[in-house]
Amino acid sequence: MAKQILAWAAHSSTRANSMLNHDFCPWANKYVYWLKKPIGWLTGGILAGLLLGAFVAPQAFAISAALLGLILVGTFWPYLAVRGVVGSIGWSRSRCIEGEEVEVQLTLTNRWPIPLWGLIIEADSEAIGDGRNVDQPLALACVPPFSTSRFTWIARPTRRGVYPQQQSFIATGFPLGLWTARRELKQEGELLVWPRTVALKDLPQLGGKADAVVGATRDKAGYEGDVIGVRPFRDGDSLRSIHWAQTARRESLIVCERQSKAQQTVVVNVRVSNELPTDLQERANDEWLIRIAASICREFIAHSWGVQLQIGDRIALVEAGQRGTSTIMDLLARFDWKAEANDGSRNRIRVPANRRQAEDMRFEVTRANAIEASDNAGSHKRTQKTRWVAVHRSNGDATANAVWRYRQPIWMLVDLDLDVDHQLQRQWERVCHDTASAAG
Amino acid sequence: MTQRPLRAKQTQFGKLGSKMISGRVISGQRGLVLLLALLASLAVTIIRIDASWAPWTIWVPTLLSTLTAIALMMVAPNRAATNDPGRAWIFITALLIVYVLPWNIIVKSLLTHTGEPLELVMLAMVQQAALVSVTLYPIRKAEWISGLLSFFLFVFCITMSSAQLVYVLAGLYGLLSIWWLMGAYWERIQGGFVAQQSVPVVRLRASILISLVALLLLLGYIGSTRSTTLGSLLGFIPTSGGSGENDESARSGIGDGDRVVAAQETAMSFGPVESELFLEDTSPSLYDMFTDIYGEAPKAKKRSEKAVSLPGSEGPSKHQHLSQSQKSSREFSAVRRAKLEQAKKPEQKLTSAMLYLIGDVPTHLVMETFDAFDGRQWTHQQPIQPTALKLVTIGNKPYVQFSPKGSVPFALKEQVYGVKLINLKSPRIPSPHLLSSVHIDKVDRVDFYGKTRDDVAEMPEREHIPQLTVLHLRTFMPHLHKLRDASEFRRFGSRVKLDGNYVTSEFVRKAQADFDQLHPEGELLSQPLPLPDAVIDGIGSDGQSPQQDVSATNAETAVEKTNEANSFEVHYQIASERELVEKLSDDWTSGVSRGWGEVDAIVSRLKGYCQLDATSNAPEECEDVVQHFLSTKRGPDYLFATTAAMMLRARGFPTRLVTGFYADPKDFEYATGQTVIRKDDLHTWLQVSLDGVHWISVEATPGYLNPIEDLSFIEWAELGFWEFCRWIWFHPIPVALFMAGIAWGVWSRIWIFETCLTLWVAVVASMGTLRSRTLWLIWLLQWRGRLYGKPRPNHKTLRRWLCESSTDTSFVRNFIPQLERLLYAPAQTISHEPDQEFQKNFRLLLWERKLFVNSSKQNT
Repeated sequence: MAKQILAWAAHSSTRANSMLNHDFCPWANKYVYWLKKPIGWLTGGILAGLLLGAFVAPQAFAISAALLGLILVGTFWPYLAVRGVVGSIGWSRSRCIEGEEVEVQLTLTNRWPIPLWGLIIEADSEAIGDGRNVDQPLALACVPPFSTSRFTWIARPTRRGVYPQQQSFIATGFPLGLWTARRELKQEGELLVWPRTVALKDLPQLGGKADAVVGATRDKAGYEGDVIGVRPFRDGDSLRSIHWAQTARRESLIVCERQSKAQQTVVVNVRVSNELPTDLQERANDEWLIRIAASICREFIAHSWGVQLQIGDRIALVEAGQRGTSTIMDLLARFDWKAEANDGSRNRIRVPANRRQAEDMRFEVTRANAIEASDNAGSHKRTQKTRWVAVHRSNGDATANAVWRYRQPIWMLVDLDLDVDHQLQRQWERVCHDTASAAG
Repeated sequence: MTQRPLRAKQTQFGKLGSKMISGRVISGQRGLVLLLALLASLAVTIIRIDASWAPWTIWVPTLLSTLTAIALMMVAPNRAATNDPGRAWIFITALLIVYVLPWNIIVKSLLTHTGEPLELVMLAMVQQAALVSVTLYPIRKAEWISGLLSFFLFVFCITMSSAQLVYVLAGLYGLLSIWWLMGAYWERIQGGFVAQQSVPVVRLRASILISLVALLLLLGYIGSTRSTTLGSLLGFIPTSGGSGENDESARSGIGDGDRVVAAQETAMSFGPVESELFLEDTSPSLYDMFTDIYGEAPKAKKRSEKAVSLPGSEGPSKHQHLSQSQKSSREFSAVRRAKLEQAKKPEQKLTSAMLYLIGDVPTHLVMETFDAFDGRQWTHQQPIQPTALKLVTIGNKPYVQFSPKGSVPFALKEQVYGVKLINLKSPRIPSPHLLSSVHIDKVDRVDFYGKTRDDVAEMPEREHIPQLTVLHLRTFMPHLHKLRDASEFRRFGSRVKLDGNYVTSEFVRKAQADFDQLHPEGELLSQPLPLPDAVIDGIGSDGQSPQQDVSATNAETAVEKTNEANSFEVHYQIASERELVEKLSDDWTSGVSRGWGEVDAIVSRLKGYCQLDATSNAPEECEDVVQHFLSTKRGPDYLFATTAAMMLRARGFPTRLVTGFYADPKDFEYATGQTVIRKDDLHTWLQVSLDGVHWISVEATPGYLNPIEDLSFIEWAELGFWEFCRWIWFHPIPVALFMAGIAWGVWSRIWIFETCLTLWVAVVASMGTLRSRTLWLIWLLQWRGRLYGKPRPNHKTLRRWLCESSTDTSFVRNFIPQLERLLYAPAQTISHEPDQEFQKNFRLLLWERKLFVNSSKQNT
């Protein structure tokens, strides 16, 4: 009997609990949300005080007056506090890599004769936070009166992109936290967060002379080096290359044919999906495509290759050197999935005829499941020069890895559920060695 | 500038982080909420004990349950913090909250047979809920719930109880809850404090401190002087009595303010007149201001008054004590003893106002007139013809008409005045000249009004017009400008209308004769001669133009009739040394054509000829005050008026002396739109008539302004122009200096403009950053270039322009690199403290005014 009663009590309490916690009218939450805040209580208290004062006892008016005073202090203090503050926020440098530390600098001038306590910085937490405690707002304990204060701290952006992605504010709810007043902060410059790269050390470096950096010239028609002949004008030819004497003589445009570089060129094509990444997981996968592409580009640039990067409808054609690295990384940092998905012109990549390089090697970086049948069948894309780098998630299933790994035309397969850096380095080393062996 | 070291700041609010209670660490915020819940619990217990027959049945279980809750908090502080605290814990929670109900039933049925009201039982359960939630559940949400419940409990307690202790507890609760809210906010943000480095902005501090000091000094000065500013602040909330402050505008309180009582706030309010005050005031109250000042023994005289009956619903009778009346004088002595200056007593604002006036000022309010002068004294001899008064309705208000519209030929426009009698006690209506009609609300009978022997509107058979009466007056505004022209002045005579007939006054006839003497007949042939007789006999009231009919015989008849109606003999008597007066008046009017211009000329010359001196009276044995006045050239206002009257009589103008009040524009109060007229405004002036019926006030005393006359814009501009020319003529030195200044300004305009710019830049360059100062300097240089005809074209850089345009290129060349470095170098590389050489060059360039002056020009 006792057990039954206890069971009934437990059942009832559970039902009561679920009933009490059930949201019967979710549509009304946005209207009554403020009632859950102290300012809502105080407003309710004022109304109750007025009603009580009118109908029960006049001393309740005093409660209303006191609560009104509290609300006024709680709203005007923050309002006046932020009115007296002007400031700007920026970073110590304009570029960093994902996960790298960068110093954030905030300059605030307090024009009030009293110190301001409890100011909060409301900004893009990705750009100004250290990535550890996202819920904890960055705060300023005290800004002295009549002073310009400089606040610095270390941020660690974890996601590639252009920051800030939203307006920064200085805000305060001090002293009572009833209402938060905010004021815009002036933004000093932007921060470009480059994708993280994996050091692919096993690629053999070109050693030797200065020629190795820019490459030697050879007598193949191109756009560099000495003049090796003349030919009729073709669309895209620079006017500076026109041979005016010959042109005058033949009464048609004649241009100088020049040598081409002996430098080798690699094309890296990041195959982004046709749809916007719908969930965080998918987004994270696509981010890895960019990181792998960045790693490959960086490595080739370091070895004085010319690199042509294609991502979406963007294209970058760079020479070796730090400038080339910056161009590639900036392009990847600025790449926006959202804008890409909204733009229908993704497949219309046009490389100017006169800038089109004879590609010595081509990398296709893609998701494994996005490799189309035509690719698989080894059509025109499947040439000796093309290397397919694919990513996928095995979810711990080793057989899935095996299936993908030996599937054509995949050259390198990266399982995102394992240590990506390690896989990339090891596989890169292996395939390079294999290639070298095969070539040898 | 000092720099504070980098630090991450923790303040006192952050110290709330944790506290030790009985050896166990609990959150500071939680401890505070527990304290709030205990306070609420105490307040509720007090109320419950108040209403209970057996207090122990309240406080014992409350104490026990509270101790139990706290003990459980100590024993198992984190039990409920887990996701599943267990059913026992929930059972204990429920038991601690709802035990009150069964306990109350037990007490009622077994122990005391009296229970608590149900609302108090429920309140006690809420109290327990507040306590239990904070003690047994160490989570943030429970803290907030507890705080909310204790807040509700206090609202209830304050409303329900009048116990002193509850209020004290409520006050304590208020302070602690504010601290709790602050702590909650601080706790939320304190984990994210970042390091800082502060640089005081000294400039800002100095400027604000200086402003504050200046403000404090100003406030101190205002406070120490007890000026009107502070006074007006005191009277911001009008009061009347009780507080010791007294405000005229008070509308309620112990008593109404004076303005409300006196109907001063709105001129249309006639409250006092509508009241029984007017009906029942039987105390003698005439108080003649003039005899008070100029002396005559008072004789009280009791008289009955007429009254308008009002319905009995107007309210119960009130009695008001008014002061004793005084008899009005019938003569005005121009020979008086010098008045002894008495030590002034502090003025009482309420008693000083004789009356209030709404309307254009300056205005002369006539109280008495005198027509005959014997050299020493003015008396009134010539009685006026009785005027038939008529009741007319203007704007739904009954007005008693003294002079119908159109009867004054030289005045077409009407002016409206409101007069409110405060301390003036006289049956006479203080009115401006050319009175048209009078209105007092609800007094719609003609026999309430009349005219005194000396031609002043009055309320006859009355000791005085009751205090606080509001009189609405309509007067004519004289259009005198045309009368300044001789021919117009002559023509005017044909347009006088009296008692429905057109007449010509003797004066006008004389004026016409004089005019004819001055102008040969030949000159007049081209002009129609307006003869007034035609008007009288020919057209009368049919409205035809009088100029159309001219007849010499009729003119004679007209004059005779006019003489019968208006004998001006007394108004022409010159009791002074005639030769002197005539000679002077002839001198002063030489070159002035006949007409009103003569009046202007004489009074304006007299104002300049003699000085106003209230203490300089004629000796008692003096038989001719005018002669004495003209010889000493000093005297009070009545001697000015007397002399002007005599001189104008010598020129053929009938004049009379008037005493009354001068509404000074200085006394106009913008706030109320009223002019206060006090005893000091008592004044004497003269009036001039053109037709023997209508008298125009003329001001002969320096420092007093003539009444407003009707002027068209053209006339106003013409008068203003000639007045301006006259002023220039009489002030040659200031005008010459001014013109020289203007000429210098035009000649040196570039220099002045450049100096202003330089000074401005020197001021702004003394503050601001180095960069902003430099930009100001460049701005100045570009302006200088423009002024000296070498503006910087858009396509030229600063360097090129300065090198090409400036004369001292070597000096500029030295400075330009510094400038460019400041303007274009990266901000990080620029020092904020300029070096000596830069500052020197900056100053040189700032004050170098001949940078763009051509060398050839410079040499010349």
